[in-house]
Amino acid sequence: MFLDFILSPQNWLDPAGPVASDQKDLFLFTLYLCIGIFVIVGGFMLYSILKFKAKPGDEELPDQSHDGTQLEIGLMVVSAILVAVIAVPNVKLLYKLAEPPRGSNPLQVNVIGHQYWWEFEIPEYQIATANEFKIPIGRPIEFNVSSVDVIHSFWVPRLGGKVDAVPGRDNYLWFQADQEGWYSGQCAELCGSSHAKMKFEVHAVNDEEFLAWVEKEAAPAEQPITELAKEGKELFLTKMCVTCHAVKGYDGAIGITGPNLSHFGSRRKLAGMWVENTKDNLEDWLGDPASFKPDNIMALQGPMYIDDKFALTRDEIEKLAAYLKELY
Amino acid sequence: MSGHSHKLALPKFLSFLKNRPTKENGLVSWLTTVDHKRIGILYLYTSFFFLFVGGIEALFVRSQLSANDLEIFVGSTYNQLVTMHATTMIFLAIMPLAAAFFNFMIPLQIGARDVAFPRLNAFSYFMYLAGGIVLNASWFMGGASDAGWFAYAPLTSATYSPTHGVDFWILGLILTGISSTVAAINFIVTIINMRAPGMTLMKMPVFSWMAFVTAFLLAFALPVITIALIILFMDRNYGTTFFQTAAGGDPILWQHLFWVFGHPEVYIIVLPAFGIVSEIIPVFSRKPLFGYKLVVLSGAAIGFMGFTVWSHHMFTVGMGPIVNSAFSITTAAIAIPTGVKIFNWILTLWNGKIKFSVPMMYSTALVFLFMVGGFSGLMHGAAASDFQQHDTYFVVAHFHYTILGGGLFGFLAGTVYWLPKFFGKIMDEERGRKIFWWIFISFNLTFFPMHFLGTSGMPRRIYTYSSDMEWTALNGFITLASFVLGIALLVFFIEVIKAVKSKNKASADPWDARTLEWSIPSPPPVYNFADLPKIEKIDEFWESKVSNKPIKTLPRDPHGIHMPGKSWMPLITSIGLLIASFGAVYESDLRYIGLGIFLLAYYGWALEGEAEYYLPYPKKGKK
Repeated sequence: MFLDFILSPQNWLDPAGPVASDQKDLFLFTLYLCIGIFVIVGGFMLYSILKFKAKPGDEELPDQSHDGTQLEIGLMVVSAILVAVIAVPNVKLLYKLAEPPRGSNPLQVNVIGHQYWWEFEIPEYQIATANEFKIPIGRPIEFNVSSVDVIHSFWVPRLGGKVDAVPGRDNYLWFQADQEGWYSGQCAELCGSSHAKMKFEVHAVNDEEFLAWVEKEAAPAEQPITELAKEGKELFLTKMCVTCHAVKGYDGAIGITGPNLSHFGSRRKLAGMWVENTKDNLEDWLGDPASFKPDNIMALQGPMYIDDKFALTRDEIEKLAAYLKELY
Repeated sequence: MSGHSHKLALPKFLSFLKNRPTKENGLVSWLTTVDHKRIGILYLYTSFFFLFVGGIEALFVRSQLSANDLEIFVGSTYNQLVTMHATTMIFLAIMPLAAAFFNFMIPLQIGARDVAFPRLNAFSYFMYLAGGIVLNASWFMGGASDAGWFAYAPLTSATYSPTHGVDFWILGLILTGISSTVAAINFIVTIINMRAPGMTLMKMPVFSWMAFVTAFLLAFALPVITIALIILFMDRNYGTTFFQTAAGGDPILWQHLFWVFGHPEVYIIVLPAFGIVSEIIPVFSRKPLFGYKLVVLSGAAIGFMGFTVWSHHMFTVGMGPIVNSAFSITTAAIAIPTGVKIFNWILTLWNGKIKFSVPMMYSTALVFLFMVGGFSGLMHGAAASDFQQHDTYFVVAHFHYTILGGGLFGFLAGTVYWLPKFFGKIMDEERGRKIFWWIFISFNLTFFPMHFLGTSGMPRRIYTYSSDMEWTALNGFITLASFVLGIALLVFFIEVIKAVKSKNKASADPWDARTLEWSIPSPPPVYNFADLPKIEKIDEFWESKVSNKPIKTLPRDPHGIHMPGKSWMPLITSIGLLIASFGAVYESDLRYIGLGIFLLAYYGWALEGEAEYYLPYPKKGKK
């Protein structure tokens, strides 16, 4: 039970790509080296403690010598060598990880941190989405990471280490997934009340699946089919959701404060990846977003949450949810 | 009373200033005291209190994390707890605990009657208390800061932290910063000028040496954070834009300023503890400290190098491989002087006759725990893999091993070791041992598993996590252990207070120790040394015991024993700045009232009469 943590989807000692794998190797190298020294030095200390314990009643003074210049210099030289032994592979890896391998044609992805969600853009395919995106396996992905508000940190543990999303700066990070699968990521820099709820997922797929996804994401949003959803679409305008959210092909829905919802229905999860994207969860979220993500901007500033005149009724929530679910 | 001080011609309406307070007992005597020993005791008790407050905050944090999806302390409330736990522990508990020992022990160890500036010393204490009050007042006045203890811009801006929490935090830290800066200068001057004749710097006890180094670190590091805090306050309240990207400022500037202070801060915490351990290990091994010179030099080297590594807190900021490599290497290099200390402690044990009294147990535990924290620090120093560990529970484990393992354990050792000197009482050995084991084991059970949470990807400062992250079981275990640790520490402090109240009178030298403070009674008389000692060797007191010859002393002053006069002014100046701080937070006229009080008391400080008085000497031969 206490070993459950090994199974964590964010266990970076179970790497799924070359970057995380190199980092794991360096980590283990320094770890084993440190354990080795700890055992020797700590063992020596433990031995001294046990061996030189005073016998009761023995009041005679022990040998009072307290100098050994050569010994000291020797120990310092050994320490310096050990420090160098760690420094060499570390500096090598720092340079290796600084950019993707030459000639590897990385896929460019823009990552923009928001309180409290992640925006992902793939300029090559004109895609903008939030919190979930797909990448092709076997190809380096180069991220251009920034933020629109406070400092966040972009991190997918099983694929590679993190880099901070700093407002006004462009930071770069690359990694590559070698196996298909969903990789869990999370904001790693305290960014406010819902820092814990700023999760995201990277779905690594084969090229075919990736291209199919890209095509669908680039297309305009689906038109609603059911009556309920059609009414929801109207509400999306009249309740002013459009001020903050964009839906491709919906005139007026070009807001950029909140996530782009063009293909919201196809997402797996919602509320910072906390719950499944089901009808019930979506309705709960629309009813009280702050209970999922404290102090999120929609709850703090959305007129329907701060002004009774605009408050959503049960009925309206159902319609909006129906519309959003049909944005497949 | 003598007449050889300068008499100031005070205007009549100020004549009340001529007479300094003289009460020897009761509340007034504590509020006006300039006795370094009493100020040390005030520091000790106040830091115990804040250790308790910070501990409660820690247990609140652990309660919220004890299982997935809990909603006990959510969002901002949780962030406030995390922020205040760190701030309280660092600035109000651990640093002042070191200050308690500095205050009490430096003059005793160097054979002086007090510090160089006794009134300034009282001012340092009251400023610390004022800082603690301002920081914690925020809980009751709209909420504490929730921006984390390193308060990264722009999260601290008025836009993203609209409550007054951050303002209280800034002003509280400015007050404690003034306290520490003033204290540092006081200790530096004291150590340079007031050592007993013959005690060259290289004959000074290691604890005083580490205090000396720490004081320099404080004097150089704290102004940086104080200025950064003032800039931040201006950004929040007066429309400047130092850290605001949109207006051309740079949030990363804050990180540099913060960590240029923040990393030396780590050594500000651990060097005093290293000093304590370097006193205790030789005493209980009944041998001189191995390689005294190197221990001293390595301490100074650690202090110096501590200023060259700050950006290792910023490896993920995007500084590029050149800068990251440079700071990786400087970071790892600190392992060399740190290793020297550890080797010397172990070599002191070697061939000794070790007595495992409670202070020795904490000291040897410190060596082990600091090694764990040091090695995980070395691992963090490898920037390329640190991109993974950074900002995870691996770091949380690391800095608790260094700050508690390498800091608090030393102060616990110091508390037990010097309790006889502080209060003339000694702690119960049997219970002390039991409490040690409870603390030691629960400490490791609390913090060691955090390494595993880190490697399994749990970021620090998240208020909750979902069950599919698989962190629940381990977090539950850690919370359980943390409560045991909390209770064990509480029992430790109850035991201290019980000992102080008990009748276990301690002799002048209960541990058969080596340094000067043990040559005078426990607790020492108000003047410390009736006859000021003359020093010829390192550990003069020990040498005098071994050779059975008394320590040589200076001739007596015909006026009597020269003592500093008590004063109300340190307290009143501090009250002025305390009031001004509340005024600054609310931008109210209280600012001017507070500053007015401060200025008036400052003049009073300059003008009040009779800075010193003389006590009659005790009879010779009677200590």
